[in-house]
Amino acid sequence: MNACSLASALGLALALTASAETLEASAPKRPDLDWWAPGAARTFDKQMEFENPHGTLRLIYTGEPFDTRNHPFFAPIGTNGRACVTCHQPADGMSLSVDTIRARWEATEGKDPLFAAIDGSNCPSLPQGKRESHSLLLEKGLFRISMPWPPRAPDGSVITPEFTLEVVRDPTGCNLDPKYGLSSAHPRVSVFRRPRPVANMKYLLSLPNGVPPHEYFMYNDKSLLPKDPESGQFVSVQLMSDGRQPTLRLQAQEAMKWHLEGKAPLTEDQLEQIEALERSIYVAQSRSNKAGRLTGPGNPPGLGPEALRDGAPAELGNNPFNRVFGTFVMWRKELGPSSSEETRRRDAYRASIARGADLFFERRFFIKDVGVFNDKGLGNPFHRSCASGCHNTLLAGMDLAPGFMDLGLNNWPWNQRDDLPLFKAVCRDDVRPQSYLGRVIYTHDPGRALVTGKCNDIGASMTQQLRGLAARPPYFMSGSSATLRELVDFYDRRFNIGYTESEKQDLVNFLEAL
Amino acid sequence: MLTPVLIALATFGAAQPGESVSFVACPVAQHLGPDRDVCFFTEHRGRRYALTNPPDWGAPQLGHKVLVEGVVTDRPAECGGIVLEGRVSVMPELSLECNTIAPLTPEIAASLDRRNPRADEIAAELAAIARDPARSLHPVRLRLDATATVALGRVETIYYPFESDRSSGPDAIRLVELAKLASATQGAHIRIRSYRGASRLDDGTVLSERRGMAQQRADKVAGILKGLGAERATFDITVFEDDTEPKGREDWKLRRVEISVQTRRE
Repeated sequence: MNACSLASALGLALALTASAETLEASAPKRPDLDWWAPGAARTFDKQMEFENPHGTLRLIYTGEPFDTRNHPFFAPIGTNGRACVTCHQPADGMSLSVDTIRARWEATEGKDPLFAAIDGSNCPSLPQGKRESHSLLLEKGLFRISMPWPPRAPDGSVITPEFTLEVVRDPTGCNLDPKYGLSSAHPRVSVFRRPRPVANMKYLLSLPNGVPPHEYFMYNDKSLLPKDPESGQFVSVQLMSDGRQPTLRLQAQEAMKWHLEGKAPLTEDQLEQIEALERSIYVAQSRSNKAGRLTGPGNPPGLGPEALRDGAPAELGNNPFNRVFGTFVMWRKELGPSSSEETRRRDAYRASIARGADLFFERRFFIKDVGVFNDKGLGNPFHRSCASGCHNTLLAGMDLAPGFMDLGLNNWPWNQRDDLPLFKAVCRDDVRPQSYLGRVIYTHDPGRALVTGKCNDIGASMTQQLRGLAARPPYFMSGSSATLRELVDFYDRRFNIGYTESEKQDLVNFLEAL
Repeated sequence: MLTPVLIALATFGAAQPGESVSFVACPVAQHLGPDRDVCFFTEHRGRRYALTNPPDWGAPQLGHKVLVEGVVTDRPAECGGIVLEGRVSVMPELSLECNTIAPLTPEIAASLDRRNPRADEIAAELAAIARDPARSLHPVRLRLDATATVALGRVETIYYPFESDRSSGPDAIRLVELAKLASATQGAHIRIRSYRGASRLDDGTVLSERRGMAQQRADKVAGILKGLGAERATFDITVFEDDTEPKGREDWKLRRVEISVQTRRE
């Protein structure tokens, strides 16, 4: 760098500092709510764009445009006024951000079907309509998931769990509730989780390619993947955080019964319409307030929903060529002194995104004591990066394995929450203990173990895709991180990575652009 | 991989090729720098041993002891330690005292082989991506040796870590091929022999797997074969839960499942 360009860069640095201060004073505001109400007459178009605090999310629909009024994804076909779209909003990347939830509360004084007692409140037995009865939804974007205890196999038979479960603390009251709790006539466990985005589904539903034998086997214990009971074919278990439903159709039926409180199952025609829609939606950020247009010639090819629409699903991307989200090399360029201030500012931000992509792909750290991960043959510690460790699926960014794991978000000691229920799980002496927590585990959500009954699965959940993140905070299954910065801080703390302040900002900028 | 330079760094005692060792100890993770995976070693009776296994058989884990069952080889040192032919098992119970990551030392850093045999190939592909960025989204698949040859009547043996029913990826691929063979064979008959193991350590202690391991392994293998398409085959499953007397040499071979696909006439 010569003296002139150094001066220029310093000048720019000052400008960026000033800009950052200005931004600090006026944090990005969420644009006006674009709420897709159940049953509303709207057109679901082939391409739609939605503003969010960091830019614009683009949604591509590969089917033909249609009126949503009578479509089973958009129509209130249950009994509580909700539709699938209630919790899978296009503007929120087909998930639901906590800002949207709060806005709906304010707009309807808590009367929106979104806040239905069944799962939109901390417990149905609480007085409905009071903010505090819906605090987990309003503060963390969490819906109540009620799971039978002991767990049930897909055929309804009881699975004998390898552990006992005791309620240590119950801030919502639901796990000790005489009607809904663990000691009720039909014992159930209430846990609280975020809705996953219904988009980019081919990446979640395709079996892993090129990593035999994992088109048949789970990576962790080399048991077989589940099968679609209708087709008899193996299925990926990427769809849900605990893998409890293997297909879109089964997930839709469960949602109809539970979230929509439907009195009858979805018809074959409704199932077909819902599945066809869900398989045809691609979302990603397409414009950044600071980096400008993210897609098109001259920009990284992996950004934007077009890349997802056209990309190859279920491929391992953690190699020096794919780098999971493709190359960002065109944004690493030095800032030209002759460029306009606006261009230089944009390019500086783009360079930060490119550095974030490099950190994501290259910076290794000691991934240690992650249950159902380090113990699946990889070793403890596993010295890898975000990309080569867990977020390795080309273009989508979840673990191709597929990967249930206990990152430390559900189990103590890594993440201790006062707002969530706390359970004490005690595993039997004759079973393999959880690899890093042993036989006595304190957990806010037993996760996968509520499906399998296995001690080793306590707290484990499925890694998530990383697209459309800017549109759908908070993050993680339990909404632990309100912002992407908090998410990066969690990883930094959990794995003692030692990111610098500017590295953290680069990573945040990178994640926001996905 | 560490080069033979490190032989001089390790305290080998008087290890002789062919000598058998069997012991339980804490593994140590050896940091190999910012761009490499760690390797694992352990120290026992004044010697440093590399802890290696076949692919996906299960790398050592801090927080757990390892059962080392091997025979000393004359291969160049790895991870600064003697290379054994055998197996390393992660013991299931927690051992929180096993928590050491050995820092990268100048000696170890100097010993690392930094050659990348694919360097030219990588540089060429990266140059191609620079010219055509969309190329970076073309899937690049691993060059895996993902085939296994199985044959009617031939016994395939899967060996397991101590008290584990997890087979490695290559062994799982053999199960896939066995299931294909069975489903393609008229009147296929699958014979499964499953064994619970024990291991005699150098100090005379005998470690036995918990009762039921043989049954657990047999059930899992049979379930996998059926799930992979061999559900029409008949199964003959024999479970050996009683200890076979461990000899203190290659006792890892006692923990196994033998599988063969036959026609019913055989």
